Amino acid sequence: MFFNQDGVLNIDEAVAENPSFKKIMEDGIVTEQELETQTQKVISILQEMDKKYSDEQLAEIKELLTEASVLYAVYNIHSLQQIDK
Amino acid sequence: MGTFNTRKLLQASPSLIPLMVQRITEQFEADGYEVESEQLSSGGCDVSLRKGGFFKSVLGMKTALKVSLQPQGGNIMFEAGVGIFGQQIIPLAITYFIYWPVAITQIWGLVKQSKLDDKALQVVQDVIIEANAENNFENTTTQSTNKKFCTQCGAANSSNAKFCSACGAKLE
Repeated sequence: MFFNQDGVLNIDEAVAENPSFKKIMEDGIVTEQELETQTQKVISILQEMDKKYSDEQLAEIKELLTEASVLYAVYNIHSLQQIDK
Repeated sequence: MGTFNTRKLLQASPSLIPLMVQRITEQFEADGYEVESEQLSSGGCDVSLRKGGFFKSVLGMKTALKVSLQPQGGNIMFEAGVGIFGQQIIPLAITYFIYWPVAITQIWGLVKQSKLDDKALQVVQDVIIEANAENNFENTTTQSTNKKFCTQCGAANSSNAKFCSACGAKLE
């Protein structure tokens, strides 16, 4: 589900095939309107999940979203710290 | 460059960097790799190496093994890590994929498993060994030509000697 045959994460492949991504990138330009629409889409999916899943399931989803966001944040902080070295 | 990489300070003259890049290019191209190198203003060079399989493209960003050779205090700093093909190794690579750190960490794991970084390092170290051997040969030749040989007994004497240290004959 999450990894390809080499055991490497395949979410980028899902992103590349995602209809929202394809539509936004069709002309190669990302507009403010497209950003806003995508933001609303993410919010509405989270709201739907809030209603649909149990507290336990939601806690797992939230944990994944949080840990992934922590990784991305610290990766970028680390990269910025390298500039000062 | 990614967070995880191989670094080694090599005791060699930075003048060897172009030859090292040439050898890496030749050897990896012979193994079917796509190779691209970029000369840096520091006198160093970045080399991108990629081949299908585990060097996947992540949302249009082609990943690659990045080798950096930088002059450092009269020596050479060797660095290898996973980065973006053809993009200069800069501390902050612009990446728009939230799972980019996961992807490069996993690709780096495959690189380590295949010992590709070790292979690049070995190519560079072979250039140093070759250069040292050439220098030693030149030094030996120079030392030999600086000696004065006795026409009577054949003994080697220093170039400024007037008499042979072995038989006492006058040196010409």
